[in-house]
Amino acid sequence: MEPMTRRGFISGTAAGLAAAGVAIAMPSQMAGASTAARATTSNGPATAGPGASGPLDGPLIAHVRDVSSGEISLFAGEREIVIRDRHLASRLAGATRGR
Amino acid sequence: MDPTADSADLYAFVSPDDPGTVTVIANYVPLQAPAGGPNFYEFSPDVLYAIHVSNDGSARSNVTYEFRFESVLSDPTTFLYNSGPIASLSSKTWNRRQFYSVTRVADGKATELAKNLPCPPCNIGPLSTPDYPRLAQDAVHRISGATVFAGQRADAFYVDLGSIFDLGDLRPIEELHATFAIPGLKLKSAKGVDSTLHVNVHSIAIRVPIGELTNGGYGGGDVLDPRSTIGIWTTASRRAATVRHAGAARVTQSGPFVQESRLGNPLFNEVLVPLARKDFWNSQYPAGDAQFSRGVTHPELASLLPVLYPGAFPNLAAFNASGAPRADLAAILLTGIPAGVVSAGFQNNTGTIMADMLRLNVSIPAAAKPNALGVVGGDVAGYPNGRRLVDDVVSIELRAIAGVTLPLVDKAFTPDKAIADVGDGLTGAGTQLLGVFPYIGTPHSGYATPA
Repeated sequence: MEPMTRRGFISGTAAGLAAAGVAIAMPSQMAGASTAARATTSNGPATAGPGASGPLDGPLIAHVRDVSSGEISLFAGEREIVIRDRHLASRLAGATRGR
Repeated sequence: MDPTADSADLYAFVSPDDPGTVTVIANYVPLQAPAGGPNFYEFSPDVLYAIHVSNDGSARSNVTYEFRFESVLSDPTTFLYNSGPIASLSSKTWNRRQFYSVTRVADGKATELAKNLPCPPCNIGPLSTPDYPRLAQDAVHRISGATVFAGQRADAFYVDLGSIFDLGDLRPIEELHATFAIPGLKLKSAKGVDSTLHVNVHSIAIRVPIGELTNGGYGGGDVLDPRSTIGIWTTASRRAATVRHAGAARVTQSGPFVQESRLGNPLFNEVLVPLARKDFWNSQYPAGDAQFSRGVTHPELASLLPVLYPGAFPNLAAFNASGAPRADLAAILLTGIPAGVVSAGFQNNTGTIMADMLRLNVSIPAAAKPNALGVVGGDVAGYPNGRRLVDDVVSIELRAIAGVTLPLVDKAFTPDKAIADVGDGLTGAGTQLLGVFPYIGTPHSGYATPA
């Protein structure tokens, strides 16, 4: 699958969204959004995991945790990347309402 | 609880036939009926199984062994697990098999020790698995720095589940039970019934040199050296995010592994953690177990015993009424026993951090004649110093909760006379074990074992 841009991610998922969670392939970088990565270790959440850059290999699942704050968890590989992007969260939430 | 992600039992002991090594056995997929066909039991390919070792008193993992499984179907057109006798681990008639990898994580570095290691099949019967012991022995793999086995075994845990969880009925003393004044009900003391005598489990067993687990590679020798004691627990984890695709028999998984279950001391979660907190407890790490300490220092079962058995536990009832914390149970289950408490030459203490870990002093050699009551029975090579397959952990913990270990920290306390008979009335007789690795016995055959 071809890598998608952030705009493509938003528009490409709008039709398929039935809830505030979605599985899709996309690059791991999210331009314009504040990010924090965490990967589970044997002792609990860490602040960064391996493979924090480079092309995405495998599925990506997004979970909009809080539309108002724009907090979105992206699950990719063995990492969880938390971003804060109110605009993106709002667009995704709007997509669930057919907008 | 999903059985494939259920950390059911954990054993850790100095290997009796290889004293420079420690063996750890982690059991999952409990209570298997041996005749479990046609879809026989297996490890879950989407679960990350792990054995953790803390060796610096932090109750955080310093050394972790991770096990990942893959299921392979040779012939997708048949419903059969096997289409003929399985004569070897490479038999072409064996259709559904599993392979696994072993990764050691230490000092922030993951090292894959081996991959594509075959598991043995389940023990089906004389036609499908005519020489099961040989199949299982072929599945013992000597890899870099360890010997490993993963596959079905006979459950070594012996317990009268049917009685104990029938409102605390202990068959050896059940004539003393209050019986809730149920009309016509008369209980008479009896021997225990082993609920797990004929069931199988799936075991992950690993044997490693002592220095692979201890702080600084300490090889053992001095029982009182803090480096001699390690804390062990096991976990099962799944990916954080899963999407199930309707009509496609397919799931998408991604994200970090999230802990679904863990196990250190036997029965800790079952008996000491309230129902409402069990899932939360399973999600937590030992280093944070201070939040569960009240279940240990003021155990519900200790309060129930004098009520369920009126007049049998007057001294325990008086201690309960004092409201004093059970420092003996906190030491046994949460910090380990300091030197000088049991004897001048014994300790399995890991410091002050309260954590449910199975603590093993690796400098204590295996006992030539193990006492199933372990430390309570005067055998410091047994539970709660690690846990051997023969250890009667149910009786040990029941007696400890009933007060048999209270004099260790409160010289004024005298255990009640009834304690001598407290337990589930089992001795482990009938549990079949091996004299060599993986020590846990050959699984019960589905053909020969009634469901």
